[in-house]
Amino acid sequence: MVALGLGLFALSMVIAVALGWKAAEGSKVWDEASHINLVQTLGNGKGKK
Amino acid sequence: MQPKKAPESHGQVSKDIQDLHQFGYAQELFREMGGFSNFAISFSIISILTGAVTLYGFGINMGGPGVMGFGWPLVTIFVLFISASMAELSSAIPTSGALYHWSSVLGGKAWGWFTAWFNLIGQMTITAGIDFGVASFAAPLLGMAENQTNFLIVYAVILVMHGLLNHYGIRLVARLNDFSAIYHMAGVVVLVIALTFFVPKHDVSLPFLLGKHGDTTYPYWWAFMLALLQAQWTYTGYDASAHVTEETVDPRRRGPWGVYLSVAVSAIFGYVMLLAVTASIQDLPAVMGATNPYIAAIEGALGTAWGRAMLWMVTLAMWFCGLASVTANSRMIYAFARDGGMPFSGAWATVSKKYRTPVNAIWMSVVVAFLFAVWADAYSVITSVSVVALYVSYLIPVALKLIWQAKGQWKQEHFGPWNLGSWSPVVNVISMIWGVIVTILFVVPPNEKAGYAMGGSLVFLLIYWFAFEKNRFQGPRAIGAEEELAKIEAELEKQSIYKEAGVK
Repeated sequence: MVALGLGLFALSMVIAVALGWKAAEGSKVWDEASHINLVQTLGNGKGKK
Repeated sequence: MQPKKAPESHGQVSKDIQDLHQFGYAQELFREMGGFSNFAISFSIISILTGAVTLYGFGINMGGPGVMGFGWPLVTIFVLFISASMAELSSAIPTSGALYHWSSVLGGKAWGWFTAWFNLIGQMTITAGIDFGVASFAAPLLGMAENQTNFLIVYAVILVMHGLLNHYGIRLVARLNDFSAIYHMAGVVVLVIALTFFVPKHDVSLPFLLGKHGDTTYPYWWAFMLALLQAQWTYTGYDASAHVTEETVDPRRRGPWGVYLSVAVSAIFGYVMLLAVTASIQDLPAVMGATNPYIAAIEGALGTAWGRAMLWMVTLAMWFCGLASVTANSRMIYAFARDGGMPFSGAWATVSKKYRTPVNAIWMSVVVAFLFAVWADAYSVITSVSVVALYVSYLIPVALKLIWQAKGQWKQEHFGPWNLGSWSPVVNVISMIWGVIVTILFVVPPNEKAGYAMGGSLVFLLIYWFAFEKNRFQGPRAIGAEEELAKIEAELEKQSIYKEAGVK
């Protein structure tokens, strides 16, 4: 049972690292020049374009 | 004397202000927070020494010791997905309104308005839960009798302290949050070392973990699920990092990392602490029957002196947590009022020119938190309402983003630098599933009062929306054109006590 608890915790840490790694990768390849501000695309809550 | 900012920091702040102008807002708040401060505010509100401690008795009496071993990591897994989903949106729209603004942009003004109110209900009740928790711990430490009147007196004093600090010293509050993060980690390390090396007996056997739970009439599996409130309530308030993005340098990166890492780091320290305390319990029935089972567990293992020292340590940690909670709450009120979303919005959107803080919003959050605690006499009701209201507000924008993505209208270019790329929809779906489970779980008996509060709030908000707000509320609105924004900023800069820092 202890192994089950620790296993669950280990799984949560694997997920934490994986999501963090993916976000860091996303950050590396993010191109600021081609970024589109959502507000300019969709409006600011005053109805969608 | 404040350290001079590096030239690249000046450049980054100017860039951040230009970015904020794209959303139509002026830089009214004081932008100085770095990455650690942004993380620290959410880490302080999650506060493993608050949520996990104040609801330790609820958890162990419902689900027995096993809930500490299995419940915490189970909830952690799903909260990581939710925080990652929120972090992505925070990177795409880094404004103080956060969830409210995201929902407005993705779903229109009605979704934004409802998200804002659920977030506000959650924020105000979480402040109530935290500071009332501090009062119930502090009153006996101060030699006062443990009764509701004394708790309310101490509670009011604590709220006023938090109001004053937030009103006059945002720089001091940021420093205290930084200290709070280190304090939480150091506190857990000291406790775990003491419990590991100085306790004669550790028990993690199957009969101990699953053999006994409280005197509830529920079957074990259901009591275990209800006991998850302990972990789930601890994991609230990490939207604070998104709410302070207008005060953070490089918010498109630091805001989302603050949201995400506050959960991930709390996961580690929280689990280690819960394991150490629970495995050190010497007399389980005595602990379960104690007024404060967490302190009883420590006293039983290490002696009365340690128990008292821990009580002081935990009380101070909760105090830090409440301080950060008022900061986050006031920023949400400010952002929503800035767009005219509240009755008497003009008053709540006022920013002190001298202190660069949303002064009326701060005091509103303090007063409402006090009134809510007076009304809701059961602690688990306060915490259930805050969990459900906050998670509803967390997941509305995630659901709206999923819909946009499913329609093919959310494009890769809409993401900010913190993004999960192709993993994003799957992470969002898992977040939604857990959000629905949590919402149902914490409004059914014994927390039906939370269900009534949430149901009543929804009915009231629906009536209020259709009767008054549908035509009046315009959603997020630009304060003015570029020149007007610059004029507002110049005016604030002239009178601010922070102008010598030369941030702009």
